[in-house]
Amino acid sequence: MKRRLFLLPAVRVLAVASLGFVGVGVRDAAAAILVVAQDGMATATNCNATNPTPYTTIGAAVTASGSGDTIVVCPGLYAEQVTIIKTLTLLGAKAGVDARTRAFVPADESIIDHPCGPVQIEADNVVLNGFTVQGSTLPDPCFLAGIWSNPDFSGTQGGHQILNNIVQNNISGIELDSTCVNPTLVQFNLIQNNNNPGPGSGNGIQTNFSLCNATIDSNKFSGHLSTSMLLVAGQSNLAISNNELVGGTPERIFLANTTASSITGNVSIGSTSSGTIRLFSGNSSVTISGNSLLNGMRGIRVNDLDPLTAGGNSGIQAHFNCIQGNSLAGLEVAAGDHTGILNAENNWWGSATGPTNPGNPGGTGDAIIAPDNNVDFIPFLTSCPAFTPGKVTGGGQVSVLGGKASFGFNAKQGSGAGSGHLNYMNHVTGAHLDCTVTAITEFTATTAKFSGTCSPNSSATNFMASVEDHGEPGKGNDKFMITYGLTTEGGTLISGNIQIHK
Amino acid sequence: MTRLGFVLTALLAVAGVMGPAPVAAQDDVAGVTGAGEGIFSTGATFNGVTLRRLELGHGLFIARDGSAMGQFHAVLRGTSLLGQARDVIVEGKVTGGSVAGNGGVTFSGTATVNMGDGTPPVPGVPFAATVSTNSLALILNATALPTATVSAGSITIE
Repeated sequence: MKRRLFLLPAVRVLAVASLGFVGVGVRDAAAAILVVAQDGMATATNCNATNPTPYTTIGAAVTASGSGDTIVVCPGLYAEQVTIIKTLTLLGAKAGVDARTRAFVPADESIIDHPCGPVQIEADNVVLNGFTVQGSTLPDPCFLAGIWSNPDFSGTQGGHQILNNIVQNNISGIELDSTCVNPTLVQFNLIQNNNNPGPGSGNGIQTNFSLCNATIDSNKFSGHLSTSMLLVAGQSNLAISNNELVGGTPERIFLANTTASSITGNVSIGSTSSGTIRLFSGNSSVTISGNSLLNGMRGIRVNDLDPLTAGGNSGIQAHFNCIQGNSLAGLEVAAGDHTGILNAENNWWGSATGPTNPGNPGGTGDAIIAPDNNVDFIPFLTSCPAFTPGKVTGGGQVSVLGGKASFGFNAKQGSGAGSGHLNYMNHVTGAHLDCTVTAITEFTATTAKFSGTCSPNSSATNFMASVEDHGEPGKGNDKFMITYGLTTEGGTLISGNIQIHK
Repeated sequence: MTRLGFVLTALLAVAGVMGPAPVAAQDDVAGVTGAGEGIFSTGATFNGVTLRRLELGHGLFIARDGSAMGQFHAVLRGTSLLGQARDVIVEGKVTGGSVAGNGGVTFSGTATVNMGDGTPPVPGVPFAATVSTNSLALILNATALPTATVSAGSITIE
């Protein structure tokens, strides 16, 4: 088989170097590095090397490893179930490469694919970095998730780090459970389309056992038919931050039985769920701040539909959120479902007049529905703190699979969420977008993210674009990435330019 | 407040009102975007390249005062005098524009033109484009190309 040129991401080289690697499978007193390549030839820093390695499957390397070892996995499709019962660091071909923005090129990925559950973490402090994990399709007694963890089951304390992975096309994405002993981190992952039939289908991350002392940060959720995060088993000390929930499906954050936790800086535009942040029952001391909850049905919903547990929420706070364009309510607190006052001061409700509520005559923003009159929403913000006046324009081409695509856009932000237009055409597939920009969700001196809805003759109903302006020339420097439907493509400009005007 | 303090405060307030407006506060009369493909009528040539098709991508705002900001990009696809496939890449910075009575717009600026023949790209080439929702007419370095008809994708004028 012709070997593909494969350059190791810097993080893998650094990780390998820090361990004093001297050769394949060489073990020193502290730790060893084991290299997995399907053709049996590679070194830890070069998958094209002709040095033999004894490991052609990840499972074989796991079996041969000792606690504290690192396993480097070259690109390939690994149709196996990887059960990790030792403290190991597993580095895929894309270790250190943010999964949210990298183009998915199967030949460049280390793909773990298994119908009974590709990855099970049954040890403390396991690191899984830079893989694609996919293919869970089988019900119990299989594991039902792409990545499965359950410290109670294995008698361990959790503390796993799940980084830079594409987790896709499973029944559910990640079964995330951990005790409070070791901090757990889920970061820079693209978690998408985990909708295969079975228990838990349609959830990006879910808990069935318990989760504590965990950070879910800077992940991208897309295409799920139930929730982005379904955390209902009993959670505490969670930080859910800076995640992107792509619209058009019911992507949402759903909590029950959660205490002492925060939901901060997340962005959702166009969720079709009944509540983008949904607090069911048993939640207390949960702070919701700095999120952009745009164009959904309800920005925040506190509503326990289970009559046996009704009224179990308390101490919920919401501050400095941008809540706008939600068709039913910006915030709804059902009767009897929050004990005491819900403090929702200093939020933007989509209008300088404040929310629509009987307690705010003349308010025309998103509604606050609270039959128990138990929401304190005054003072409210008269502008969204995330809205920065400015414009961004661009025109050019990017590489896509098999060829190139053209784009042209203008977007601006003033006192509103954003406006403008985007046209896009993939010259290979013929996919075409003719879309209105409805929100700019990130606007810095060098980066912008915007999204919107597309005309009926487009190839998708909505889009989300991420652009970068790194000066002149745009070619080779600026970046344009777009997500539409289930497709994400783009990258560094092959010609053209992007300019942020602030 | 002292009288001097009042005067200073008033001056600062006026300065605040009269100072440079934020970019987004400019009064745009049109936004133009496009991405797609077009077809030239026969006889289109540029610097010896016979043009058949183009790929376009542009995004810009046109202000009421005739200024504009944005990008124009086109790949002019054709064949050289020797019959070889040739892509001429035009990367333009838009600095001016206007809205025509028929709903079309014209915008202009300077571009870097890469003839695709191995010669270095030429910067500072003046260009002007007149677009409608289904066509694009480009004047490049005083050479007026025949109007190209959009065959795939779209141009939007708002």
